[in-house]
Amino acid sequence: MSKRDDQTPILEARDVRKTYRLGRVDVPVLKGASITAAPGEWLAILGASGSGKSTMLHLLGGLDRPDSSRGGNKGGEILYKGQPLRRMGARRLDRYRAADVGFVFQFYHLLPELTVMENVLIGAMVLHGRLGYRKRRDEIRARAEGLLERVGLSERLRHRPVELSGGERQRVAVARALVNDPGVLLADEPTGNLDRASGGEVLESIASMRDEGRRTIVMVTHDATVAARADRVIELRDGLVVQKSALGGVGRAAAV
Amino acid sequence: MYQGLLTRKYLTRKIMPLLSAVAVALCTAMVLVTWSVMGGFLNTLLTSGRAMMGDVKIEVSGVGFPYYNDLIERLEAHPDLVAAAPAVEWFGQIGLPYGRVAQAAVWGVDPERYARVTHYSDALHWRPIDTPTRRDTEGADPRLGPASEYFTGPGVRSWDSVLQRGLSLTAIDERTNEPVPGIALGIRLSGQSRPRPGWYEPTSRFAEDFLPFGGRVTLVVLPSDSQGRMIEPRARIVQVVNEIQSGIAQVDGQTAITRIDLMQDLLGMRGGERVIEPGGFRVDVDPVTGEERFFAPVTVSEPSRVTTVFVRGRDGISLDKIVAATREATEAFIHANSSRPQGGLLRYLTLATWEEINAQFVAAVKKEIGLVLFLFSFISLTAVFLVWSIFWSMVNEKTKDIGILRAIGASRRGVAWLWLRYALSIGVVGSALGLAISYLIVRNINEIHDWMDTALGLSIWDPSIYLFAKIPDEVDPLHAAVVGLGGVLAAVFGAMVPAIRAARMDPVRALRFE
Repeated sequence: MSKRDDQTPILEARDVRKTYRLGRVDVPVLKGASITAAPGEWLAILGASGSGKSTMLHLLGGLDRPDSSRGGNKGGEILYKGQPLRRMGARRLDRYRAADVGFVFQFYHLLPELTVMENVLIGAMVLHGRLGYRKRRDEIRARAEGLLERVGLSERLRHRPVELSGGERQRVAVARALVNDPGVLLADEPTGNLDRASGGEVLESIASMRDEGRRTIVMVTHDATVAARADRVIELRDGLVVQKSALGGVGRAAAV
Repeated sequence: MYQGLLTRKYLTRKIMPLLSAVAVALCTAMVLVTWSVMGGFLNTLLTSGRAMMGDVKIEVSGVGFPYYNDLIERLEAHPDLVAAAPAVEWFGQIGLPYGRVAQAAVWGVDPERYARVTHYSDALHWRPIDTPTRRDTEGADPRLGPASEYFTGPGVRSWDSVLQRGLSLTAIDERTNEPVPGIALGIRLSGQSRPRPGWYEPTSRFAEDFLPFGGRVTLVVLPSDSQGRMIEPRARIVQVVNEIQSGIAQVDGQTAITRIDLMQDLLGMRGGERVIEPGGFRVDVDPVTGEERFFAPVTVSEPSRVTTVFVRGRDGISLDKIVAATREATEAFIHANSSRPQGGLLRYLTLATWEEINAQFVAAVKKEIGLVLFLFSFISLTAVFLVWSIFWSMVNEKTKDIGILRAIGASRRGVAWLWLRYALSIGVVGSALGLAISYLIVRNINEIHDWMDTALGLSIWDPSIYLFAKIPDEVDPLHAAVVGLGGVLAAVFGAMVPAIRAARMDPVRALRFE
């Protein structure tokens, strides 16, 4: 067991259900899945395509909401530091996505018109607004440059995404996700679109951004070897958590 | 903040927004050009009266009215009024060379006083000039050469002396060497050497009989007496001393100006003792006594009459104030003179501004402007729909970007503002471009029209219809501001629905959009 397991979860999904409607058919994706992520923990959610792992990540990140139900709690709850996201208003939820969590997606999702530096800075612009950003501009730029240096892209600041390799793009996405120094990094198949070498570099970048175990990482993957880099792995199958594994490789090494 | 960055990037890296900006620019330019030309036309129409008749016209048409010098003194004594000038307005025939006849409004004026009330001196065509006029590309204008080449009569040595002849409306009689009244014809009245409407192109081909160069016309008027009864037609051969090019087609094509004393003589309006012949039979038989009764001619003493007094107000005084001042002076004049001989005519004095005289026409022009602007503004709605469709398609194209922005914390309102701000920028760029285009078109519209006339044979602006030889070429800053703002609002309005659609997008679906 990790020494962090006894701490209050920073992020928790309690009996979460999510159903999508495809045409006239309701397709249940999550059927009562529960997970917890402790502060500083690297949690991997392993699952095959369609298992509901990306949906779980979107729910954890406040991009989507669990099923609603009148007078009950049938859709389950997502809690951040014990506070239900369901009770957050739209503005607070926007701030949650901007400040408390950072997303990394499988397909990088960088804004193609912006340079590498601008892609990283835009997260801070969204969080701070015009005045706040101007007030902290130097500090924010220094942080963005620092992050890009840590992911090995300090020479590519003025390049546009189209001029970068897949691995480089994903490392820009990691830097963007962390520009506001969130407590949680949510990574959706971060290596899924990369070759093994590039994927390894991205995982190294993510690992390096744990900042001495201060940051929680929730990573979704279908690849057991990638999941093995996490402290803990849980497996989702058909919308349910079917297995809670022991520590992954790096985490186990750290724990040992 | 991020909206500004993305707006800048989208604007500089995408073709589609430029199409929106071009659509806004074209619609803005179309409306402003129309408004400037039509509005300028109305403005010229409203102000042009001042060029030839001052601000207010006081008249008793036909028979005229006496004691006008007293009226002029009272008018000129008023602090809001600058000058007043008497005139006799009549219809007449102008007998031109080769037996041609033109109908004309003949104005008899006191040239010095008339020039103080109107821009008469500016309207005289034959004057010294240093450079060729706009359309005289070959420098064929006789005024560029020595006047002596064209004039052989006495008293004319230079173009300046030709101008003086026009200003004084006086010629020198070749036989007696005495000054005699001359006449200034509207420049299009003689019909000579005017190949295109509004295009005055004097050529030496007509020099021999070209009217200002020593030519004469026969002025024929049909006078009436102070009772309004027609008298025998009267004719006088007068020398043409200059020509009038006021820019007002009505004046340039149908008006002749001569001295007031000549017109008073011809029309019997000159004061003094006059014998009035009885009408009908001179001898009558008394039905009771059977005796013959004779009706002898009666000698009456009459004051001089004019039909019109033109009034000019002080610069900077509103037309309403000028009218009020004129009315005040006129009422005092009527009160003081109505009991004098022929003072009864003063009861018929009317007072009208140029706009009132042309009220029907002005109203029609105003309606026409309103209609044209409405139609063009309606057509400009296409810009709204164009922006709408372009933005709809751009929001589609940028669906993933919207998902990304929502994922990193952008609010729905922030996303909506991104697109509205983008539309605002396009509106500003498009409107600015449209204003610049329309300014260039309007300022050079006469040159463009000339080019179309020369190169394509297209003459759209016919002064005989639009009254003025020159197409209005001023852009009203207020109109430009209104149209520019309209262009910006049209762009923002067009982007409204796409912006709302972008804001309401489900971020998860947006991120999965392919």
